[in-house]
Amino acid sequence: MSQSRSETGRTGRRMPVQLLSLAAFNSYFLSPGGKALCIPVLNCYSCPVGTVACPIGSLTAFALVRRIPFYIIGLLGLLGVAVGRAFCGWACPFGWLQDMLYRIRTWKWRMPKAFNALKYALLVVLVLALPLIFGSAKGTTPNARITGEQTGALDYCSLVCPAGTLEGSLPYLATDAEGRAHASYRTWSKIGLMVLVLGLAVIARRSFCRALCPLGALMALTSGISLLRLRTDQEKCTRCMRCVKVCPTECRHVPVGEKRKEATAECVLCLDCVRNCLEEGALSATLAGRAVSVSERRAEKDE
Amino acid sequence: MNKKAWIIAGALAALFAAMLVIGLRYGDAGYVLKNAQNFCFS
Repeated sequence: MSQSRSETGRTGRRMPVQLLSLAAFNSYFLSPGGKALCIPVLNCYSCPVGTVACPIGSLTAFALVRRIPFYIIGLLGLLGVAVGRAFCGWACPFGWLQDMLYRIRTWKWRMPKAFNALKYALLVVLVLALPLIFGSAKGTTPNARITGEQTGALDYCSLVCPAGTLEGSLPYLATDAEGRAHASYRTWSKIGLMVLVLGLAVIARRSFCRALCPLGALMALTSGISLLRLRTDQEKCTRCMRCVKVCPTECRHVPVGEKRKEATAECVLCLDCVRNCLEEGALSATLAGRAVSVSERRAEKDE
Repeated sequence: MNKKAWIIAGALAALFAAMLVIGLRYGDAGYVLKNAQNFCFS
């Protein structure tokens, strides 16, 4: 299905916030101890300038030694209860990259919603099941200290992660001639996969976030309980479906006919729908019940 | 938000906060840092 560029809509302050976040999460010199902190954004910690730890890589490291990740679950859970998947929409550097790639004028594809379930399978299999099974098979014991060599060999997500390839593998290959000479088929297959994912992001909006991101799957579990949420005033809503057209994850926030609105697990709370809504008060975002953003009446030509 | 949603959000926030404290006490943050340093190629 082809879409015009205007369907990306107004992004308001989101783009500057995403750029600030990109800079902040890649400013290791500002916070050398920051890699002890897990923030729910996809920004590879193997990059020397990466400021924070990758939650997915860290969860895998805990699974490998069969240690319960209280700290990571607690931190991500608290952030999830507070703002749900807003980090995906406002702060994730890889999400920003996909937003940029989707702006390239070309044929666009509306990805079927069935693909959304894939990321949950990846979370369970790559992040939890395989490290738990093969970690013990390789001799790691509960709470054992794990070496970098073991982690690298058994961190299944890192074998396929496009963000890791972009920020970790490519800079390494670019700066280290010996590393280039010894690059294995695994390295080249990772690069091929990254090109595929980025290519898909050009034609399908936020395709990686929706179909493949295990971190998105993890944070989606908190969507239904977060204090930051979208609210639709069904009396003011004209069912113009503009909010659906501009939504990066193609969520449906409005009920059509008698059908209830779809589950909002895919919503990254970017609030593009609120900004682009033409009816005053039809869509709003509330934090703990208080409105933080409300749609304003605008003529369509204002866009 | 209705009362039920507040109770659920509050209970989960308390649970996650408790997990965070337990994790910090058991040195999880240090383990995360160590793993991140294992990966960093610099």
